[in-house]
Amino acid sequence: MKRKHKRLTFVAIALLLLGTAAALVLAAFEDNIVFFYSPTDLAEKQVADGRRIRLGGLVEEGSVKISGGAITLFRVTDLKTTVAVSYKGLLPDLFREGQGVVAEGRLNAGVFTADEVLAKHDETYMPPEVAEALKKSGQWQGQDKK
Amino acid sequence: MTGLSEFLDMGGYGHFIWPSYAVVAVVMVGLLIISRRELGTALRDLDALDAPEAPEAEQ
Amino acid sequence: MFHRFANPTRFLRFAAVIQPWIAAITVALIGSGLYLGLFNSPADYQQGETVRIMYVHVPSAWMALFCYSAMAGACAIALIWKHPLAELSAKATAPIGAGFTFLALVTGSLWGKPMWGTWWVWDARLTSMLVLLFLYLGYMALNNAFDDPARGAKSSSILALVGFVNVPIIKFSVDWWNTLHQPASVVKMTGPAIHASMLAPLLLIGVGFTTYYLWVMLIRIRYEVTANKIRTLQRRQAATGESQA
Repeated sequence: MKRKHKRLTFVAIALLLLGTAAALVLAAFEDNIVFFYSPTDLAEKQVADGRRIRLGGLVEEGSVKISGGAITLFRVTDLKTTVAVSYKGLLPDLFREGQGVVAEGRLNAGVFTADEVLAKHDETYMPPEVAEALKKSGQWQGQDKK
Repeated sequence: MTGLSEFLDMGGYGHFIWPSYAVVAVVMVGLLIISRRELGTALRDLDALDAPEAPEAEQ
Repeated sequence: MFHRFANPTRFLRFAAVIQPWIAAITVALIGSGLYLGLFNSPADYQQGETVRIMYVHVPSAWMALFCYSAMAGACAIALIWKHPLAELSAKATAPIGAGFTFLALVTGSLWGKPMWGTWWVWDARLTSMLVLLFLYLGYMALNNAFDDPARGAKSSSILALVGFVNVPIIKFSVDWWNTLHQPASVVKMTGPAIHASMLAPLLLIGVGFTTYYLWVMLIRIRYEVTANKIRTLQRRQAATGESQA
């Protein structure tokens, strides 16, 4: 390749990468950077019905029910507000009551219809025995796992 | 042999754990090998330039 | 110490001497970390066996940030003080940092699929890490874009410094914004949230990856110094050849 072409190619590549990086950053600064709304956010911001958003919080204890077909019903809470969620499909391994969750979908007449449900876990790491011991001694602060 | 197959299965997550370790090994070892080769070639090229030149060695 | 090593040849000799030691320490640290991580540490109460991916994912991410910081620092020194080794060490560091960023993204993806339920999300942590990879690649491309290595080095140094703002963004992304990626487990105000049995392999591999970086960086700096010498000799010989024509 001629030297001039080589140089132009590299500069073009660099600019392309830079441009993509900048585009990613800018896109992120729109809705996406708010990766999810909490139930309280949803209530306060009055998100329009039918608008595609993400809802994040904890799966409310005792709220998980299997409905007809492969539909799971549960409630998402941030310990202040709760939202009812309906989801059709396979749930991730970590999905359980008391666990963090992020659902993507739309709000419709007070029920959040999710088409994707992701489990969100916290930043603590410990062996199961230690978790059990902490729970028994009443010092448990983290998320639950049966 | 159940011990080994259980170990490899990693509670059903082996398909995610072992490829992770594999890609780390490939990239890190690969980068090391490539870097050493580049250095080796460069050192040889330098020696060739340093050595007393025969007239036809001019490129 | 910097003044001593302003002479590349002296640095080469030093590098050749300590390299085998650094190599041995690297193998020992990573080896023992792998042993602990794979054979002698528990599964996690929450994430089960997948926690073992943490032992390569987190050190890779640490190194991605560490290398970029070192690279940006070296570029600043190169621009301000024009220390001959600064530019070379930045060039040498880039592919290593890019490699670790790539590994952090791939191992993260392999960890995210079973635990979160997805290979990728555009949350602030993952997006900013991808931007970091692009910054590394852009730096390497700019370095090679010019016939005059000095111009390439200068423009890429400016890119490296401008891009440095991404490093604190990555680190604090999980605190500043709602993300799927969880907050920090090790470097946090209240101390590590990792049990000692898991922290041990993590730190061993973290240090081992750092010495690995020094190992490969030394090799690559030696390469850069040698390549410079070759260029100089070739120019000199071309000039002599022309004057004899």
